Amino acid sequence: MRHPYPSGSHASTCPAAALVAASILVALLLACAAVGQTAWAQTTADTSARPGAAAAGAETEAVPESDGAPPSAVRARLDGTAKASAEPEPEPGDPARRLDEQVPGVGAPEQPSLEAALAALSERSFKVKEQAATDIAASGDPRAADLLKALLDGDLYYRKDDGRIVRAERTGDGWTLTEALTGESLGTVGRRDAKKITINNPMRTKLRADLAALTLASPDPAVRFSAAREMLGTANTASLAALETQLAREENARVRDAIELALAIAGLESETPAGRLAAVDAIGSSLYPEARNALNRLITAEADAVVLAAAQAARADIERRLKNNARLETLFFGLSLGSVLVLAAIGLAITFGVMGVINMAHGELIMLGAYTTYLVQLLMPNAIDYSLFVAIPAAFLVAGLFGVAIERGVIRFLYGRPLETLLATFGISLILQQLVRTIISAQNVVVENPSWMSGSLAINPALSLTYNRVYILVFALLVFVALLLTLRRTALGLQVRAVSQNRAMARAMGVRSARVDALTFGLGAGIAGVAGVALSQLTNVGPNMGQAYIIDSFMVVVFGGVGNLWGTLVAGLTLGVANKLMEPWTGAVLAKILVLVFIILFIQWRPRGLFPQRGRAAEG
Amino acid sequence: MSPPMHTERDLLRRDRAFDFSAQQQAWLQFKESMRRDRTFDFMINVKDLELDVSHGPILYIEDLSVSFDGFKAIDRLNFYVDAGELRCVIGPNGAGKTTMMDIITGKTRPDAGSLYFGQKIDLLRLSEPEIAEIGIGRKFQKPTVFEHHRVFENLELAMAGDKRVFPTLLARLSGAQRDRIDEVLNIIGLAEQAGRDAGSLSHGQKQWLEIGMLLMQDPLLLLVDEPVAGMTHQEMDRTAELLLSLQGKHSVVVVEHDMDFVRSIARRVTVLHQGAVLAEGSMDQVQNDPRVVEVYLGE
Amino acid sequence: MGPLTPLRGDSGGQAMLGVLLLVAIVVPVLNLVVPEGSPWHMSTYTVTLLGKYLTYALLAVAVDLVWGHLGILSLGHGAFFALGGYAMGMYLMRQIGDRGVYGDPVLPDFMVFLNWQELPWFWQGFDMFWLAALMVVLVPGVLALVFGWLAFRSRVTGVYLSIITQALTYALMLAFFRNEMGFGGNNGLTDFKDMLGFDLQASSTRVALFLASALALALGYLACRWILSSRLGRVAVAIRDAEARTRFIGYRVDRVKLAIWTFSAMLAGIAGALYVPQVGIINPGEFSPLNSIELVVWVAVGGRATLYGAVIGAIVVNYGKTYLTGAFPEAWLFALGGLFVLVTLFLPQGIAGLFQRLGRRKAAPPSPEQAGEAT
Repeated sequence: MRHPYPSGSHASTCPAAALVAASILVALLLACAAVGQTAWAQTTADTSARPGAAAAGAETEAVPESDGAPPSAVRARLDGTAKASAEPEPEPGDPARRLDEQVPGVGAPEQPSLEAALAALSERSFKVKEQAATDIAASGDPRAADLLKALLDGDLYYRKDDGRIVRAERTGDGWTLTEALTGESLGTVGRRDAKKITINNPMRTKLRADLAALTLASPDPAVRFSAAREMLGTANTASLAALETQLAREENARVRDAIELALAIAGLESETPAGRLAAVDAIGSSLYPEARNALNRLITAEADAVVLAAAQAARADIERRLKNNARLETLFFGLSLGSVLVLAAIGLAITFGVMGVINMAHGELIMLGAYTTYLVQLLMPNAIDYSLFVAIPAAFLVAGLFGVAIERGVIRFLYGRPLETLLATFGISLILQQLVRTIISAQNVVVENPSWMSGSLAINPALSLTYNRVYILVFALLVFVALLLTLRRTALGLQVRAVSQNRAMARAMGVRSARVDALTFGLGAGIAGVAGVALSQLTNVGPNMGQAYIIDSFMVVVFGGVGNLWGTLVAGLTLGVANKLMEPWTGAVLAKILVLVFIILFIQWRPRGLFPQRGRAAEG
Repeated sequence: MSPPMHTERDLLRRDRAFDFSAQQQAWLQFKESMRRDRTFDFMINVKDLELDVSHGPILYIEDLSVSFDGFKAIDRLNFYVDAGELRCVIGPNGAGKTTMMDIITGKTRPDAGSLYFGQKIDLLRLSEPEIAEIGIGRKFQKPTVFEHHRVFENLELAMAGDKRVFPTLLARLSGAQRDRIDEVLNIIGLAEQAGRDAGSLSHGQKQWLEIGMLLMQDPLLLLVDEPVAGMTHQEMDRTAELLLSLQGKHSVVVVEHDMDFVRSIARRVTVLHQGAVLAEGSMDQVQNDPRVVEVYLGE
Repeated sequence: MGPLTPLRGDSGGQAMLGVLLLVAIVVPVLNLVVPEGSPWHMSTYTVTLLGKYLTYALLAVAVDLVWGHLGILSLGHGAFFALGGYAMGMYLMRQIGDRGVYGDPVLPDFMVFLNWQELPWFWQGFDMFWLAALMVVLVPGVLALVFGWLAFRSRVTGVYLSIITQALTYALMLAFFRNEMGFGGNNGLTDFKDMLGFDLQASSTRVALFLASALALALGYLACRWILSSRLGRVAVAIRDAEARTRFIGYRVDRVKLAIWTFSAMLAGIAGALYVPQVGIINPGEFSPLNSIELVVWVAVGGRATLYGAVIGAIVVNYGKTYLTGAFPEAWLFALGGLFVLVTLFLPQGIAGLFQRLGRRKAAPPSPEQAGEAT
């Protein structure tokens, strides 16, 4: 005979809950794919975070584009015969190479043409200077673009005594000079000792075109992309030619896309309606803001009805897609907030749901996890990138041990008296807060983000997701799955479920309930610590941070249904998304208030949450 | 001041613990309210109806079903109790005896079926206090008395009367009420313990106190769940005596495991098994019924 | 039957009220009659401090009524206290008139600062004391009524109820922090000048407020005792101990809870209204969940379900807080946290329980039954 009252604890997975959770995620992924259209997701490393790390990032990025380049670069460095090697283009992303070039003589064989052309800039004749600029552009030297830009911007000077081409910066009464090519410092000279290299208008036009062509031809796709991106809506005849040349040989989908758009935007100025129509078609539903601006300009000026209609349709399409993007972004923010809630609440779901213990110190266990991260980073200041991998197990242990201590020291005397447990653990939370204040500081501490957590994942020109939020979302799901598996598949999990369902019976069957209680509580506390590691990457870390999460966490657990891990997951994600959906209309604070009020009302309607336990077990 | 009206909505809101069947309930209630012979009876305050036992039974349970997570605790149960009858219900563990009492007293809502007190009062439309008020009292399997109240106060609280908030706030014991409490104290043999906290009574005394509280409620139908658990033989005899003295004036349903006790009081016995009636009749009849024997011995 | 009938059998309450009466006579004398130079003189600051403790004591009584006797652990009673305080604060704000920094005859300073042109509708009439006094009980009462009606009829009990009461006060705190709410946002209401025409800084007014607090505490205590010694009080305790059983003998548990809960919220509102003129400020911090949970500890320390224990606990803990935050600011949270743990573990009956145990030991050795009861 079946057990008469299968008590639906966490073990009785609610398939509906799983379905909801899975479908939310699948929907997000599908939607992202649909908006992104192509599979190009690209990294835009936040270089401001740590220079060394950024350089490392740039290096790895350059590798796939310059097939076979690194070995030859290495060879060039080794035997100093870069010129002789079949590799005409040096490695811009290779810092070592750049270093070598500063040593006179090493890169020497390549330089005469560039240096000669550069020297010619000190001539008076614009004609000679124009030829010199063209030579610089044609030199193929990676520094050419930089020099031309300096020339265009009027930053290039020549020293009067030896005609050396320099960059100059005004300091006090004179100029601080640096050698234009090598960046070598040449000290300070008087105001009359250096003279600006002047250019005229035809030269300026030519320079721009050369510069565009140069950057467009750069071996680094990121440079090419930003060059093409800069030409959106600002391209002139010269740069258009460069764009077309580059388009013919461009292989990177993202750069191609930008080049095509730049050409299309330029095509909007075509004399013939057919040409403009083709350009509108080519713009299609591009998400670059320039595309929309160009269409807006066209719409105000267009006389041809057919083109106008096409342009309006295209603009409407773009706006629709932008709106969808904004929705997706909100959804992402919501899921991100939801993942934080899930992380914060899931340890509570164990202690509250499985053990029936109200742990008001849960927020402080999260705080301890965050402080563990801080301490780990203090111990390994040179390896911040790896600090989280140390911090996660460390935080689990620290918070877990505190949890076991709390259970053994206080809670075990209070089983069956939930309200007293609530008060005692609240007292513990105050003590832990003050402990951190006294030992470490009352102020917030700085927890650094590893480089791989900064930056963002660009899904398309209008939608990019910051890596820290993406990782934490993934991390929350991993923690959830790990916890679920622990409870389902391990001996400890079996014992935990047994004790939570029928303590006396479990004990009679040889389960050491005291040990199981301590371990369960330790598990819940340890997960709070792990959540603290994740939260330290998103929010301020201070003695009070736990308090911000305790009420939210309880709301999530209660909303989801006590004793049901799936409920916690669904509730956390739902509340996160609901919060973010409301924010545009109500503001953050009011959204939060409304969510609280909603839950208060929801509990009246369903006192046992979204996924209640039923039957005799639920009536206790 | 008459008690406030209860609308359909009020009734539907009750007991959210079994919410999954709420819609089904709503539909059933809707169907019920649309019955041609009973149009508009949702406008009648059910508990103000007179108890009508002119056809004999005081309790009608028809086609009652309830399930917990797919397990049918009560499965299309049909069960009738005559006015003034003393009925014993027996059955193995999990047969649905306590669940049946839960449903009668409004603690648990059934998934389907009907439940009438007399011919007119639909118990499914009343809340627990209302059910108590119309005259159904219950003694729980595990004796539940108010441990921090004195024995006397326990009886005072259970006493029939106006149990709304303000009348309770202003209530004073009249001489007649005091006499009635003393009388019950004597019946249940706790006169000497009247001033003691109920929590300090022995298990058997708590059983008696709970029966005393039932008597104070002066119910028409008493549901008594395992009244003699933990009692000595002497106490059992007195309990049997007490229950027998109630029949005629009150209707009593006793759920009990102790067969000797059941034999000593029962005229009619109902055997429940897997949520339905397996057999019904005199003690001898059911004891000789092969199905009953199988249920009790066969497994 | 006299007004003191409810005290029959409540020796702790009799003693407490006796002491209260004594204090209410001695304190004004020490402050107003004894000259300032004398070592017996009591400073106005101390009088106000004592007055504040008395309002806390009344709040603690309100909490003990529902927690100790009805089994509802409210972690949101601070909200009712603060609402009563805000109602009084609004009256005091309106009394400032054109003496504010901006000199606007009607608008309080913060509204002028926010460029509001006219008084919001919910500020109308708060220049009348009677209306403000009515609101002091009505606003918390109505909130408690609505909240309780929703919660009790759907049988939200135990820790669930505790947690949603906490969410309630948390939500209110967030709401009152918003400037748009029209209650002064972050800063709350302050800079009060006078009340019913009396200068709030004057010693005599402070003493009067102290006496009003003492009177409110005495009356509130008697009212609670009266309820508890009625049959309704016994029903409440019955609900605390065996809610389902109470329902099966025919009591409308939800309504009993609702009535007592609402009454308790009103008491908390009165306590808040007396608190605000004495401390001179009310801000959203009063809604903080920490405050509400802290006051539960007053009750726990004093002795749950004794009523007079709540008074003792509120005064003892707050005296300790005043002392510690002055002398060892670091130690206060350790002390408070430790108190939570120690009281729940080792002193579940609180200080009052300690007294009772001592008294009982003196009177007679406990009978076996009584020993059984204590477990």
